[in-house]
Amino acid sequence: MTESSCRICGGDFERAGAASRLLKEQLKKIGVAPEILRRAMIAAYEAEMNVVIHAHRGIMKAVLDDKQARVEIIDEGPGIADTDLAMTEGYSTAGPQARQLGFGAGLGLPNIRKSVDRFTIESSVGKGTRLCFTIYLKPQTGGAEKPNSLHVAAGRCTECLRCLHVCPTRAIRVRSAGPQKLDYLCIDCTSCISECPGGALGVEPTSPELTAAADSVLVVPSAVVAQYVSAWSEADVEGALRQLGFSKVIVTEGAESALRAAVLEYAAGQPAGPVLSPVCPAVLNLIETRFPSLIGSVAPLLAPLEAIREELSGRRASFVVLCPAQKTLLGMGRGPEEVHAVLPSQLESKVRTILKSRCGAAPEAAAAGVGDDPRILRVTGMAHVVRVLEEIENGDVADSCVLELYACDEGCFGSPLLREDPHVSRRRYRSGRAARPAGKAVRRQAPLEGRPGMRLDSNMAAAIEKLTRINRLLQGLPGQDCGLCGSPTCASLAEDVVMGRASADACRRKRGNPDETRRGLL
Amino acid sequence: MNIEELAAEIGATVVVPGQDVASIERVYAGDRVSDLLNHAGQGTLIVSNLPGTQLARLADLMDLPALCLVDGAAAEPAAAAAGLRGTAVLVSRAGLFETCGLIYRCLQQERCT
Repeated sequence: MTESSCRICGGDFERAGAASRLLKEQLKKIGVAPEILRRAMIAAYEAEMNVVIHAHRGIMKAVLDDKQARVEIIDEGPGIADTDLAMTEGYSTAGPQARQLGFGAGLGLPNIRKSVDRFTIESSVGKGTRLCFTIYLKPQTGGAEKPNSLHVAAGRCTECLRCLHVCPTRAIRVRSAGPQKLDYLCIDCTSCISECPGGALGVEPTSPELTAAADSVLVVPSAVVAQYVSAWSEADVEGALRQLGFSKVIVTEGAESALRAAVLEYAAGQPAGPVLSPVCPAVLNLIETRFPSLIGSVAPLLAPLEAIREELSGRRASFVVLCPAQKTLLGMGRGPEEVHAVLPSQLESKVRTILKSRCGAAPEAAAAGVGDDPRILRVTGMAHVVRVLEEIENGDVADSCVLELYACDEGCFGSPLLREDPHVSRRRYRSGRAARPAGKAVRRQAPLEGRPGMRLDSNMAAAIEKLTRINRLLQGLPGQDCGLCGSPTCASLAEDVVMGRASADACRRKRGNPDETRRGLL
Repeated sequence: MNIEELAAEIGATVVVPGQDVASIERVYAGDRVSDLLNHAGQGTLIVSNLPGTQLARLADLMDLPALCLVDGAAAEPAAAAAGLRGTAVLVSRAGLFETCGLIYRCLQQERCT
């Protein structure tokens, strides 16, 4: 059983709905079925508006257990002289302000009674009204988790805890056995990989050896080509890549340009609001997990690597991947015999050997960097991406523009799997210098869908019980979010304890913890 | 009928594209919040002359797939914010009654073809 309450201010039409919103969030957290949620919202909003319209002040209290939601709305106000009359459809004593806003139809109380399973109302004239309703709950079904490819080498962990605080979905824990990832939260970005000094977090290739079959294709991101162009021309680099033994080399730039053009065309047909380019798969995972309300703003196209994979359907291909999200993307719906994930480090020494044998042809003169189209707002780095997505979600970015959001700094050029500084390599990379075939943008067939995210348990009764225990535990924690316990925040530790992932005495800053007193931290 | 086709047919503007509004199966129009609450549901387009802020709150609480403002109402920021939470927002130049007539004719035509 878990309890919550929210105050309601009489006459405050601006903030009206806040109590119902809080109830909605609680019901969503425990996984209530949408049709039950709808009925609960009709009843809660009607009851809340009655307080706003008629009373001086009030409070909405909700008690949730595994079977039902019991909601009580108590107000201080004029009360109802004849409750039977008030229950009659069409009867209302609402004033002109409320009527102007669409209230006062005399349907509020009848609506509540129709929407709930149990309903009682008591009122005293001159004192106030107490309204209670109960709705029997039913769990929601569905919401599949998705695979991810972040590789954890626990033995390399130095317990620096840096990864804890950079993860945008708080998916990392560091325990005595090393770092652990929560698969249902991990979005396959590179935030933790970039911060890890010991190499405990990373991406694994499909095969430890680079094998180039004569009939297979090598797909290389532009950022990988950029690693070599300080000393050699792009044509030299692409030539060297071909010499590795592949029948064909495709640089992703063609597909990236095609996607950019297709997104701009799509955005031109959209009436308002920003359009998000699906260029970075880690950002797409972030949107599905943390910002599902923005899924509708993503242009319905495939990411460049996905588009190339579609184009090469049925052919053997090796893709150089720069993040776990790209590896996951390639593996989805395909067998490993068709598509291989290769790391840039697997190519490096071989490509450099070939290039050196060519006596180092001089690179062409530096030109402007890639992707500087004024119609596109380019945001790179996870912290900035999260901030921009929050602003879009809050309605603060109403501009009709295309946004290219990249999880890594400077886009794929900032992948921690690459050696060169991202700003330098992006500058060096001369877009369009090498003659490359144009790529193709491919429309997305299966729509993006939200992930279950923070739902505590597929069983609603268990979720309620866990939510109650988490709230209780959280009250006893210091709220400093230091991460010393191995969880990123105090709320995460409370959840970990309840979910069986950590011990209740893991907090070292908790008052009275002998370990912490000894360290002099209190 | 999908939301963009419907908007084009009735001469409305799609101010904010929605999320997963595959098709509009039902339309409900009204100027009373209680009525709209009762009829808000999956696949339902809500048409109303109520202020945008009230409709935005309704959209938020009831997860409305789409709503249509009438009389060429300026799409207030609140309505745009509702749209960004997944609700498609249309603005019709006609009044409530005329908009309903246009939608009715449009849906009847679709049924006949």
